[in-house]
Amino acid sequence: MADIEMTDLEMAGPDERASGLAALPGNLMMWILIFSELAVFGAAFIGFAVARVLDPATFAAGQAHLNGTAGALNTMVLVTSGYLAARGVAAGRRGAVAQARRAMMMAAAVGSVFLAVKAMEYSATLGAGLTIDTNTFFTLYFLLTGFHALHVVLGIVILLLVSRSGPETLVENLETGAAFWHMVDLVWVILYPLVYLIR
Amino acid sequence: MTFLKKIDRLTLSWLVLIGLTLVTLLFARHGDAGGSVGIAGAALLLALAVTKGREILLHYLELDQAGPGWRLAMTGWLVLLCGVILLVTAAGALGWIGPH
Repeated sequence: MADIEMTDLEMAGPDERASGLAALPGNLMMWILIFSELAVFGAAFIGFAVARVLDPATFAAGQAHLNGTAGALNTMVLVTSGYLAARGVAAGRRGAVAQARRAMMMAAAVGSVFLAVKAMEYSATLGAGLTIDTNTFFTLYFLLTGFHALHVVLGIVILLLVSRSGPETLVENLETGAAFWHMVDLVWVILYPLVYLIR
Repeated sequence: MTFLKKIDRLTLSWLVLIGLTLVTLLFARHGDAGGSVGIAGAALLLALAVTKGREILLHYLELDQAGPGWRLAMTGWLVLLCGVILLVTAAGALGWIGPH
């Protein structure tokens, strides 16, 4: 009886991971990047909140020019793309390689919609004569959303790259690429209410 | 409820994320309309952000399978960050800090 229990313990399911750093999906280096990104974005978000409190009138006037609906649309775009990437990882683990690659490419395609919406927002803002030099609100708006959008661009490239991985590295690469993509998603769900909605 | 039992946890997370984003649309301003959301409004928006972020951390990033330490550290970062943002915003709304 004791032998059977030992065997059960040794045959841990594929979803059960080791403890410590090995417990995180994908490559450790990606997680070190994720931690540093979250620290930087966190500090920048607190900086934005403080700057708004110091000059609420300028921030309220600036925010009135933003399109909150476009921001919500982009939230839905990112969480849908993240969902597709997570499904791609699951498919890769099941050994459904073609399905995994397809899911990652679809995640990248949906992610590119975010950039299209963002480009429309930027062109409306810039078209109204509001630039990074206009005031503190627009300086921080362009810096924060621009820095995030660059991460979206990089995330799309990473998703496309990992979808082309060879069979022996596919699962770890899918997990690593998806982890970066989910971090981009996570940053946006805080950035959106902070910059577009709270006033 | 039987419908909810048929969908997997990941799909449920996606539906929760979409649903909560639809709630935030109520706060989206159109033109100059709408004043301050107030401290309660900011608290609600940040609570929604924490709930969404938690879904992403636990089910997209799979921290639900990474042990209690990682779960606590990462959701702790999320709650701490949104908590500080709320404190700063509330301090401004109450006139404790800001222009005089």
